[in-house]
Amino acid sequence: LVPNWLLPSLVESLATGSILVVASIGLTLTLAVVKLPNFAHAEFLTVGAYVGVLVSHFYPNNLLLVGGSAFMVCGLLAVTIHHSIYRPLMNRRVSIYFLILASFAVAQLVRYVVFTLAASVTPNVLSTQQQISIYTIATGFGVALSNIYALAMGLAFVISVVLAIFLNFTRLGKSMRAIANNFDLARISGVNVSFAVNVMWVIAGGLGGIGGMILGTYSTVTPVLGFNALLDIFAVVIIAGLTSFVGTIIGGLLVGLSTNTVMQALNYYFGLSFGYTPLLPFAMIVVVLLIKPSGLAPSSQSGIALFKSWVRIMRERTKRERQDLKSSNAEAEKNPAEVGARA
Amino acid sequence: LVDPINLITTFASFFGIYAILTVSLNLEYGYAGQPNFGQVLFYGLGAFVAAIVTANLLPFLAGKVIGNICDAGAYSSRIAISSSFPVIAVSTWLFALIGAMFAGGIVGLLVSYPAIRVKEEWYLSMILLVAGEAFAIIVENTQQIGCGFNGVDGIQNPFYWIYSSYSSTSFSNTLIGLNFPGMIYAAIILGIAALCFLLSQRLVNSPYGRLLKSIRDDKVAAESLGKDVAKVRRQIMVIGSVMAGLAGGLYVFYLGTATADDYVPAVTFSIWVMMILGGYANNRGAIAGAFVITLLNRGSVLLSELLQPIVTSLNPAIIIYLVYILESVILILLLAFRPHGLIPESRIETKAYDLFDFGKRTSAPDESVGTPPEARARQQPLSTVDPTTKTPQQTRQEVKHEKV
Repeated sequence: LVPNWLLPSLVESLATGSILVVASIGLTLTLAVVKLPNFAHAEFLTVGAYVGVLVSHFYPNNLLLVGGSAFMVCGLLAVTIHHSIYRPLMNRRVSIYFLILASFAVAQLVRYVVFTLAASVTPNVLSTQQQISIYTIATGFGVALSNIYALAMGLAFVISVVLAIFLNFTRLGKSMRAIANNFDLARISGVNVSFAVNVMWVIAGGLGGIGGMILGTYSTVTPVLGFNALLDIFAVVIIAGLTSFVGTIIGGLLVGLSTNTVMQALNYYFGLSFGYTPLLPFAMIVVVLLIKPSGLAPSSQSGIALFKSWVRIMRERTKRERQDLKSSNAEAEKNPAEVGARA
Repeated sequence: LVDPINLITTFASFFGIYAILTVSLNLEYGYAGQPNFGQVLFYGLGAFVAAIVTANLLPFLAGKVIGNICDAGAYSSRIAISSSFPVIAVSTWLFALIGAMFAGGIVGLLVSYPAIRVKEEWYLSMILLVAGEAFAIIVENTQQIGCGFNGVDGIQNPFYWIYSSYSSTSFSNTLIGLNFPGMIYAAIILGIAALCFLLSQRLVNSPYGRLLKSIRDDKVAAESLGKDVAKVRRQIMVIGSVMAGLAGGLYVFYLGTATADDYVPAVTFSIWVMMILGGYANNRGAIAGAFVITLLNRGSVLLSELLQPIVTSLNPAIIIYLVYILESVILILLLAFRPHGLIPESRIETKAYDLFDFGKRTSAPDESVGTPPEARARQQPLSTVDPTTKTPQQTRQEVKHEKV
């Protein structure tokens, strides 16, 4: 009844979705805190993947070291880019298109610097692999789970939880949310804006780098690795309504599902070529922007508010029902004959 | 070593095509404020429509079976027809260009509907970017449209028959003789670019141009003054996409093939660089920007050709990468230090511009030149009537007299 490709592709969807969540949560953070649609975000993936190639060449299979160095390098790169290019423009309050153009320019700059570096070493590394071995750690229901997929899923979960705790319960995280809400008010209230923004860029760039590193473990590393994932990442963020973290997780899983399981189903039942795969996230972007630009996933705050009001309504209703029951019971105790007659 | 005529022809063709694209983007973004990050969609659409129209119309007009336009037989028959039948070649070219413009206009109109609906401004740029990328993917993967990955080949220069008319004479071996059809085509591209420039100048140096700028600067204000903002935005989108489609049609006849690889978002980015470099909301600036960037691109190709025999170990791709790096550095520096570009935005020069006092002082040279500004302000208070200074009305009458 169930086609045999379904379960493996579901696992693949989950893993791809997790990687997308890791890669795009940084972009969500950027959009929330500095309101910048950073088209250069995808280049952090490329740089992270190449850092993975470099480090794993000397320390093969050392995932912790590789991931840590990808995080550090991309975080530093992001802060450097912010201070040298974005901040001067933002201080002049230029229009959003100039910021978008600047981010395009940064993306092209980073991409072709990577191209030049990769082409100038001999033998060139324009298309290469990381020295990280992939092996199966568990099998069941005809599905083999590789270590990388398990790592991706675990990492996405851990990062989401840690980031949620960071944003909700630490002083720095709270100040970041304050900046996201109202920049000027946060500054007047004594929030150290520049420090918080720096930390934000380190997290955004670093998570992008880790996402690229994981992506590079099971696919070929090329200088366009990140650029090819750019619109997928934007699809995730747009489905999330640009600033919602819960939405990013949902969006990542949705895009992962659509590019793997849905595409496989379309190919299986309608014979659609796999070359059309990127069209699914594209269609999601266009549909969401046109129909519901606030995103398919409700923002976490409105979701919580809805939940609270639902709980209150339900509680009041049960209270009222209980009271009704009590009063009718009391009535029944008082004059059982009347109740019996009514019945 | 290097053929100078060929160099100039190539440069002129690319410059003309980029100039049309930049003028069109300048109309859309510079004047009307529509961030078209999907210019490549209209450009590529024009190219593919022109190629497909040519592939079908050439054998049809020559009275042959059309068949499958993708196979090698069709390719060689296209080449044969366009080099031996002048009338068919030129008329097919004209029809293909009209088709390209038409397709660009229709898609521009379709795209402009979401353009007006989106909530936040940069969503439109996102949608157009996605549309451009989706176009390349669809064309590359669909064999039925434009022969899939290989593209439509054998779209020859419509003036190639001139070469076959003198190919037996000694003229064909001279430098000019080798490139003669290409030179004619380059001249035509430049002529069409000039027409687009003039059209754009007429359009923006008019009350309509002022309307466009008012919409760009404040939509709400324009709407509250009774202007149909949605309609104007739709119109300008259609005009811009018709121009971009035309550029695509011209390019495909220059290059000879239409493949999806040529219409990637990097092209859009390049055109944005040209526009910002030259100066947005200024057509002369757009042309200047296109000139500089084309010079950079062609120069890099020439450089890599010249360096190849000298430095044998050099990877020619690296020079191309360096050009991309240079292009992005130019854009970053421009945005940071000179956001108005080489030629800053100029005034709209309608007739009303000369009529009023703030225009060129055609009559009565300003006597107060040389006096310090404070003194001038004291001499000519704005509200009181001073017999020595002219009121705007008097100046207007004088100008009228001069014109009569």
